[in-house]
Amino acid sequence: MPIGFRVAAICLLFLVESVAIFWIAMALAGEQAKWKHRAVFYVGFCAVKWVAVLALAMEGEDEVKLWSFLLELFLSLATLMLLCLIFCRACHIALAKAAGASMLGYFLAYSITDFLTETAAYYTPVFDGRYLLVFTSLVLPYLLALAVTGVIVFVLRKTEFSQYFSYLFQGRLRMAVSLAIGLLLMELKLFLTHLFPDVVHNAAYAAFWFGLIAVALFVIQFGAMYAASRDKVKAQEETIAQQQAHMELLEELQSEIRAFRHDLTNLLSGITLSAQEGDLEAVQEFMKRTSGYFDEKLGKEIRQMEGLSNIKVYPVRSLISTKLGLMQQRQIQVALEIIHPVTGAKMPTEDLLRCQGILLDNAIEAAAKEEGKIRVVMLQGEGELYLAVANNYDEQPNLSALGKGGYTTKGKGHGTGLSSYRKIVSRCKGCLARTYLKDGFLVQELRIPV
Amino acid sequence: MIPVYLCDDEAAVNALLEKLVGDQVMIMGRDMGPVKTAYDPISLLEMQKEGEVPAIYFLDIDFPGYMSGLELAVKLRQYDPRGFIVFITAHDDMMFETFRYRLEALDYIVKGDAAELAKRVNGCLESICQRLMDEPDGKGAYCSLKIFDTIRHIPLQEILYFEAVGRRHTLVLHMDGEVLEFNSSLGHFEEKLGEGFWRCHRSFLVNRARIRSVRLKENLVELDNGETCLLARKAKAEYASNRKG
Repeated sequence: MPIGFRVAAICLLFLVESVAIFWIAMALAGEQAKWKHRAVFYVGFCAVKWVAVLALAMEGEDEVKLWSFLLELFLSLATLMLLCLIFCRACHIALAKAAGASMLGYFLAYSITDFLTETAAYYTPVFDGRYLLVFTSLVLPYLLALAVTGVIVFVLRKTEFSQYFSYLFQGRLRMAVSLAIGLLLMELKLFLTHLFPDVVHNAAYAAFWFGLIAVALFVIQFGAMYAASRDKVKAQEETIAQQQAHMELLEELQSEIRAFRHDLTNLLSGITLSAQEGDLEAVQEFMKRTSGYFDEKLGKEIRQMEGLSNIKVYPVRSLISTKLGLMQQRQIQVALEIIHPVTGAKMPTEDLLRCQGILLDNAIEAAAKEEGKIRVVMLQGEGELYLAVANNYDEQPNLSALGKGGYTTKGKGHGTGLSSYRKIVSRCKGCLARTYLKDGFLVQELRIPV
Repeated sequence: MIPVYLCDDEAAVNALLEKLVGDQVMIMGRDMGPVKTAYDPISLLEMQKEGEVPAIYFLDIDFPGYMSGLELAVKLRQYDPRGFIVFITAHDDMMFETFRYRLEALDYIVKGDAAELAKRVNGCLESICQRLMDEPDGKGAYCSLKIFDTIRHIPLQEILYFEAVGRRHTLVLHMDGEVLEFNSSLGHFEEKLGEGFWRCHRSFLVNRARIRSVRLKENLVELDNGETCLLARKAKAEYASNRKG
C-alpha cells in the first residue's frame, strides 16, 4: 500500500478518536465549545498520537515492555492535560470537573472504538483486496463508533446529565473519589494489556469491555443521582429551618400586636373620659399623637412580612429573611419592598440566589457604619423581574474599579463576590445590570427577562 | 418649554395643584408650561402623546377603577424616558423605594396641609430646573439603548467607553457615575456611533472626546476621569500614522 494511503487512514482514525473524546467530554460537562477550541484539540491530539506512533516505531518490537507502557501512560496523560486546558480556557469550568469529564470521555471513546474494531476484526471475512480490508476492519468500525458516540452524546444532553455530573465534584472527598475513579477507568485498559499481555483479543474480550462500559455508566449515573438527591434533602432541610425562623418572626409579630392592643385599649379608655366631658381639644391632641403610633410600632414589620410573603420562590424568600435578620443584628435600617408576587425569571434559581446573595452581602458590608441604610426592591412586571439593592456608604465607591475582580474597600479576602456576580449576569441572556450612585446611595440593579 | 401634567381623581386636589404649580411657574419665571390636568390615567396618556417630551408629571397613586399609578408611570416612561415623575398620595407607607428605583420617580409627596404641599412642590420644581440646567442642552448627540420595553437615550458626552467582557457578547458601558452591563456586541456600537468613537483594542471602544492622553509606552489610553483602556498594537500604528499625516 502507498504511504499516502496509510497516513490518510491513520489521520482519519485519529480524527474520529479525538472527535469522540471531545464530544463526550463536552456533553458530560454540559458545555458548548467553539470550533476554534475543537480544532486546537484535534491538532494537539493528532500531534500527541504521531509522537506515540513514531516513538514506538523507532523502538522496534523486541524492546522492553516497560518503556512502551510508560510512553503510553505519558501520552494519555498528555491528552488529558490538553483537554483540561482547553476546557478551562474555553468554558471557564472548574479544573476538577474538566478533568473528570475528560477522563470519562477518554475512557468511553476508547472503549467504544476498541470494542467495535475488535468485533469487526473478528467477523470480517478474509478478503484478497487489502484496501477493502482496511475499510471493513478500520474505517467502518470507526465511523460506527462515531455514530454510537453521537447517540451517547444525544442521550447525555437530553437527560441533562451534566447537572448530575457536577454534583460528583462538590466537596473535597467526593471530588477526590470521582477523580480517582475517572483516572482508574481511563488507564484500566493500559494496565490490563500490560499486565496480561497474553489474553487473546476476540469478540468475547470485546464483549467484556462493552459490559464494563455499561456498568461504569450505570455506576456513574447512580452515583451522581445519589449525590444529587442527598444535596436536595439537605436543601430541603435548610428551607425548613428557614421557614421555622420565619414562623418565629410571625409569632413575635403576633405578640407585639397583642401588646399593642392592650396599649391601645388603655389609651382609648383615657380619651373616652375626655370625649364624654366634651373636651374637644384633648381629643384632637390625642388623635394627633396616636395617628402615627400604629405605623411607628408595627407598620414596618407588617410591610416586611407582606414583602416576604410575596416572594413565591421559596429559596429566595428564605435567603432574604436570613439577610434581613443579619441587617437587624447590625442595626442597619432596612426598607424591603416587594409589592407584587415574585414567581421567578429566566435564570436558574441557584444563579438568582447567588446574585441576590452577593448584592445583599455587599450592601451589608458597605453600608455606613453608623445609621446604615439598605433598600431592597423586587418587582416582577410584564416581561421582567427587577431587583434593586441600594445602600448608603461612608466612602464613595469607585464605580469603574467595582466591576474589576477583587475590588474592595475592606481589605484582603473581600471583593470576590462582585466578579462572580458579573459572570452570572453575562451568562444569562437578556440580563441587564446597572450600577450607579444616587442621592448618597450606591444602587445595584438587575433586570432579568421573565 | 416643558409641559406639566397633573393627574388626580379628586377634583379638589387637582385644582389645588394647578394653582400651586401655576403660581410657582409664574413667580419664579420658570421655563415650564402649559399646565394640563387629567382626571384619569387614560386621558393623561392621550395628552402625553400630543405634547412634547420630556415633561413633568404629578401623579396620584390610586385610581380606583383604572390602572394603578405604578402601571401608569410605566406607560408614561415608555414614551418619555427622561420625564420627571412626582407621586402625590394620601398615605406615606407605600412602596416609595419601588417608585424611586424602578421608575426613577423624582419625589413622593404626602397630601397634607397646603403649606407643606406647596413647599414640596416648589422643591420638586427647583430640582427639575437644576437638573435641566446640568443636562446638556439637548442638541448634543445621543446613543439610544433599548432596555426591555423602554428606549434610553444616553448623551454621548457622558459615555466614557464600552468594554467587551467574557465570551458571550456582554458589553459594559462605563459612564459618569454609572456602569451598565448588557448583551450586545462592540461592532454594533462601533458602526452606530461612527467617528466619535475609537476602537483602540479588540475589547474597547472609547469616546474620543473623553480621552486625556494616549500613553504609547504603556499601551494604555487614559480617559479624563483617570480610568484607562488597553491599546492594541494595530490601533497604536493607526494613531501614529494619523499624527504624522
